Amino acid sequence: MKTLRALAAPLLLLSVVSCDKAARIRQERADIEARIMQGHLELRDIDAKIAVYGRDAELVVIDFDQRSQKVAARNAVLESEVSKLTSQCDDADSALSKFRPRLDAYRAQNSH
Amino acid sequence: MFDESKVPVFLFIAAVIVVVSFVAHHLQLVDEANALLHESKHKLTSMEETITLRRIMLASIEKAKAAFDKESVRESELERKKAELETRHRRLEGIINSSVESLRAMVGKVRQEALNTTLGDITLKSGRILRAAKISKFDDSSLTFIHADGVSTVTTDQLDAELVSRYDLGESALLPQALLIQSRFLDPSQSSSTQPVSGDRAAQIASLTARKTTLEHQLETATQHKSKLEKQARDIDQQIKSAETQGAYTFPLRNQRDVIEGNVGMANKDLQRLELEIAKVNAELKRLQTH
Repeated sequence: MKTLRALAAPLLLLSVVSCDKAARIRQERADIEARIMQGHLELRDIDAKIAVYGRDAELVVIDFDQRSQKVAARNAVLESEVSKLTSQCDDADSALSKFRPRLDAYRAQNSH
Repeated sequence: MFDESKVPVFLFIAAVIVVVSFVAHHLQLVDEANALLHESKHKLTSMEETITLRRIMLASIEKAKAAFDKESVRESELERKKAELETRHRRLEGIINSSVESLRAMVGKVRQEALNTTLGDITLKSGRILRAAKISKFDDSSLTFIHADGVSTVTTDQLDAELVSRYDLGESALLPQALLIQSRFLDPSQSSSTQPVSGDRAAQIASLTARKTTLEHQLETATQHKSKLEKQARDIDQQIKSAETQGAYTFPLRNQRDVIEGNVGMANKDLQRLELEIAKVNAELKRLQTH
């Protein structure tokens, strides 16, 4: 009987330790599976956002870049036109601001 | 037959077998759990890599879209600015055209009324007196008088300032200047021409001086514009460097920098053209003044 008791004690200890380790591993796996599920949801969310722009993400980027490039080129032309018009109008305004008082004085001198 | 003294031995052996089986069973359970855990970890790693890649792709799309939106907003802004400037241009065109036409009509009327009207005695700057003088002809640089002693053509620099001003003559005459403003405004390409509207040397000098002032103003504006563009290019270079450090997508930035560099090149050409124009005007002025 003494022998049996002597064997029962480590058996019990081993059983507790083993069960605990297996349970811990299963718990860890459950956590990881939960993270995987979360990842699936996130991936679906990202894919939905990408799908708004098109099916092939790389083509979408290329398309946007090409369109940006075209608009940038148009903007460069527009900028140049705006710059020319601004300069032309500013020059005319500046010239008129000097010319007008003299014109008014001439009109006043000769309107009788 | 049955030796009772061997019962503990049997029990001991049975217990050892149970313990060994138990240990083996539990070790197997742990191994299976570990294998599943490993598999799950592998799936998680793979999933995280996929998510990272998709995130990068989404970020690239959003960045490219943001760049496109920015350019589109800029385009709308420039279109609006251009429309405003075109309105301003039309308004100025109206003002300039009406000013020129009213001035031309007024000068014509004043000169017409003055023809064959006796102005009385006119004292020239040289001291000569034209008695009972009447204007018979107007030129850009001279007046022809019929007076008591005959007919004389007098250059505008010999005339009294009041007469010069009344008949819009000489270097400060308004009509040639108005025509110059009009021609430059309606056809800006004429701005590059150093040929003034009036054939009169004094008027030419006045026109060239005005042209020089305008060119100097344009040069100042163009220099400021060029500095602004160069600063923009430097800022974008900084942005590209920081984007490269972060491993981000730099194509739209490089594209933008190329456009700005192109504009800097145009601004440089514009500056060179203006400097050349100013040099030409200066040379022309010098030639006229020493002539």
